[in-house]
Amino acid sequence: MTHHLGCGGTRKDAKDLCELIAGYITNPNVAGATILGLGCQNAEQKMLEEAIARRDPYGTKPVFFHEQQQSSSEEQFIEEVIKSTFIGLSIANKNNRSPAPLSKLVIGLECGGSDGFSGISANPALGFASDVVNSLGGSTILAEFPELNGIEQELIHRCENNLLSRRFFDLMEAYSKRAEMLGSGFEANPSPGNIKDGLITDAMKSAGAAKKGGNAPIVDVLDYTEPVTKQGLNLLCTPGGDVESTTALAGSGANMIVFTTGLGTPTGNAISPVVKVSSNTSLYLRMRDIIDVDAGLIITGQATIEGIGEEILEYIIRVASGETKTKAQLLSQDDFIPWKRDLSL
Amino acid sequence: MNSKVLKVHPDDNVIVALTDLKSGEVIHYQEQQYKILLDIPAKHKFSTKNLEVGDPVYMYGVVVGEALQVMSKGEPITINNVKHDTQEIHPNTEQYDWVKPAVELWKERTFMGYHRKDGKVGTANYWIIAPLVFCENRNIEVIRESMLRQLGYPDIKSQAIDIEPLITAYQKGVDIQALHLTRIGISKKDRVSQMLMA
Repeated sequence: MTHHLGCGGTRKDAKDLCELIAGYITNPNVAGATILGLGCQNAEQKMLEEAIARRDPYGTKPVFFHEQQQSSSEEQFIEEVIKSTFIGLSIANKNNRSPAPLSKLVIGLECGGSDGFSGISANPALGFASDVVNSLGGSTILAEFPELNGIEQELIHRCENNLLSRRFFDLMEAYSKRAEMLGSGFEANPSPGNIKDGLITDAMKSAGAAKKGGNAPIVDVLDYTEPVTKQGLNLLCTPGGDVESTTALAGSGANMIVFTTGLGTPTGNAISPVVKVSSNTSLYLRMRDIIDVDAGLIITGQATIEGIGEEILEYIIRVASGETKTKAQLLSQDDFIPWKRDLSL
Repeated sequence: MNSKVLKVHPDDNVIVALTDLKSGEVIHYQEQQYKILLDIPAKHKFSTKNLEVGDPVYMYGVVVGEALQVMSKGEPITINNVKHDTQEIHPNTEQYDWVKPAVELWKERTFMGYHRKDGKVGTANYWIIAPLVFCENRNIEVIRESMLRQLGYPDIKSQAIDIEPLITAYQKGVDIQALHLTRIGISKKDRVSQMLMA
């Protein structure tokens, strides 16, 4: 993985990067890590070590640190990193798959390239699957806060206690105020592409987007990089941008991501398999190489929301078991974009 | 379902067109009749009743907009006749009752995962190689080049297109039209190794 952060910014952004990387390393999909630092960067090795320790106090994951400013040449440095990575792989190779209940699933819920059908077919189907996973003791994560603008009341109603609804409201407010300060509030009219596709108001788009979260009560509200610790539906503060939000979902512990789309997008994630669900059959037929499941059958009346929800669950089980690779995995879409919240300095 | 339209929630006052609707068409839905006043493309919505300026627009059972103009039953909603609006946010005072879906069939189902020492289970077994700072990106790329292919991992390089035919055609001096028509694709060697790895 590569990225554009780690220095030249605020301390907060350096800390967020370390928290995100710690979240990746302690994600159950990861066997271990080799971390390369320069030496003088803001995102110091000890900041990352501390973030890992908070999540993994017994140090169960092997992590090898290398610092270039302590080496004699780039070639020598790279050789050291390759050798320790090779050793890491030999350790990781000892891990094997064995049966696990569905309550061990942590599903990130995502939508991108939405159209006027997303909120009617793919999102409700995913919402049904999310409700099933939550009923079985698993966890699901709903993120993309700017895309929830207008549907806050329903989500507040579903929060298990007032502390959670207060936290959700505060995170949305803080984010919204920042956006307005920069001249681009949440209520900015839907894009020309959205409007052409029948998403006339932002609230209409948000109400459709929130359908991915099903009907389950909300058990926790997390800020960016905070890990999922409670079973049930969690809210996670992330931007609406596809890759920043999927990156954040994996960083908070998602071991699988399901991504609905109406217009089509190829993106995936470096460590968490991304399952693509089309809202309409025409997309599924036209872009077979990037879509896994078709929810468009709900629109034509050939399938029900529950039926497609169950199909999504079956697909999740196959991918989780290593029997099937998602289209994004087959195309090596190892996308990784950390959210930079502050400015460059 | 097999219907041309859909009302998402009983409280809604707009209905979604699931397929293109023609002006003059009469839609029969849930014991109501709707005369479509203008051509409405699929994915767009029309009003279920006459609306006054300032009336709320309901979809998914919540307020999603406000009427900017007088609207008639069967008229499509657009950015010109509806603007964004929502209910005011207030703290929650009611109990939330949730009807869980039937999950009997899923209770005994399992997936084959990687059981980690902290009790969590993964769906994959990745080893991460990552930089703490962008200065190390170049080194990461060199490591990627050095390791992925030789260890037999799927690599984007194996999806590279063979452009030899384009180079050959160009050197022959063909015109732009001919260049457009030149056939290129994933190299045979890579196609074979892709098939072997899949």
